[in-house]
Amino acid sequence: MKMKPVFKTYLIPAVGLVLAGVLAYLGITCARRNLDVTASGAEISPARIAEVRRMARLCSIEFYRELPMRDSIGTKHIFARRKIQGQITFDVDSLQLDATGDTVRIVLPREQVVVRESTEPDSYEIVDVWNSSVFGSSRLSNSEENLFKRRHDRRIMSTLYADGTVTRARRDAATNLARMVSILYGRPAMVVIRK
Amino acid sequence: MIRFIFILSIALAFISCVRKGPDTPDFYSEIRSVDKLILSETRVTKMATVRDPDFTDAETLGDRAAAVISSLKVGQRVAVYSYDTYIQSYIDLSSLTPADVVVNDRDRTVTLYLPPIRTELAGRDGTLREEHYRVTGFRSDIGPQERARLKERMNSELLHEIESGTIAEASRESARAKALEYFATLISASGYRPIISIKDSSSRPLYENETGL
Repeated sequence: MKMKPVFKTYLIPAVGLVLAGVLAYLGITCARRNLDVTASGAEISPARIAEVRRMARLCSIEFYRELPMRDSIGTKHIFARRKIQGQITFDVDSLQLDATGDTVRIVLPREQVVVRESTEPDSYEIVDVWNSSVFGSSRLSNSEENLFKRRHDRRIMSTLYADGTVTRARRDAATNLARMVSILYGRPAMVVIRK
Repeated sequence: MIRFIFILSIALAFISCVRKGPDTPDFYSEIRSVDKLILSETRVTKMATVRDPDFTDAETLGDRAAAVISSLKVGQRVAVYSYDTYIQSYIDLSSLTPADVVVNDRDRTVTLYLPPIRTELAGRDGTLREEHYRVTGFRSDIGPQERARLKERMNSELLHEIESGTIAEASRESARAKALEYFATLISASGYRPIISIKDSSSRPLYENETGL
C-alpha cells in the first residue's frame, strides 16, 4: 500500500529525530564514562601475597615527604606531585657481637635506605606532560615514566645523605642497639659505627 | 613571501621555548626518630587489566552503551599493570625496659617479655610493571594520567582488602616466629637458656613459647 505523501513527509524526519536522540544519549553517556576510563574499562584482581620475608632490621629513622617531580627525556617533560615515605634501617640479623668482656662490643652494619611511594590517597598526581618541540609527541610510555620515578627516588636518597639524615640515623641506631643489648645482657654495650 | 616565512619561523621558535622555572622546594617534609625492630615484611601484588567493556558483562545501561560504542571503534586496547605494596610487622624497642628481662642465675635462664607485635603499611613501589600492552588501530594510547588513576583505584581497593581481610595476619605470624628465634639466639650466646614471651596489645605477658637452644 502506498503511503500518503503527507505522512511520508513527516515520518522520515520523525524517525530521524528519534534516532538522533538515542545516539545523542548514548554518546553523552559514553563521553561521561570515558572521562574516567577506569570506571568502565579496568578489571582489578584481588591482592595476592607474593612473598613473606623474615628479617631483623633495626629502623632508626622514618621519613615522609610531599614533593614535586620534574624531569625530562629529550624534549619530553613531566611535572608531577608525589608523596614519599621511607626508612633507614640496619640489618642486625647476624650481629658482629663480642660479649667476652665487661662491655659488650657490637659493630653497626651498613645502613639500607628505602624510598617508596606512600599508600595514602593521591600519592602520585600528574600535573603536566608536554613536549617542548613544536611537532613532538607528548606521549609518555610506562618505561619512560618508570625511569623518571627511579631517578627521582635516587635524588631523594642523595639528599638524605647530603643533609645529614643518614648520619643521624647511624647515631640513633647505635644508641638504640646499645640500649637493647645492654638490657638483654645486663651489662654496658658499645656500638662501633663503621666508616 | 620570504619575509613571511622568516617571521613565521621566528614565531614558531619562540612558541617552542619553555621557560625553565626555579627548582621548587618540598611541599611537606617530616623526619621521625624511631626504635623499631622489623621482623617480617610481606610483599603484596595488585594487578589490573585495562580492556574494552564487553556487552555480555555489562550490567547498567551506561555500561552497555560504553560496550556498544567500544565495538564501533577501530582497533583494540588491552593492557595489564601490576605493582607491589609492603606490610611490615615489628616490635617497638623503646618500650623494652630492664624490668622485661628476668635473670635466674640458679637455673641459668633468662625470661624475656617482648613488646607486642605491631603491623603497618610500609609503602608501595613507585614504578608500575607493564605485564602486557597492545593498542591497535585508531585507539588512543594508555597515557600517564590514565595509569595514575588506575593505580589510585588499585590502591583504594587494596587498602580496603587489608582492613577487612587476613593479609596482615601472615606478616604478624612470621614476625612472631622470627622474634622468638632471634632473641633466643641472642640470649643463648650469653650462656643462658631463653624463655621468651610476647605481650599482647594490652601489654599483658602472653606465654608464647619456651625455647632452649
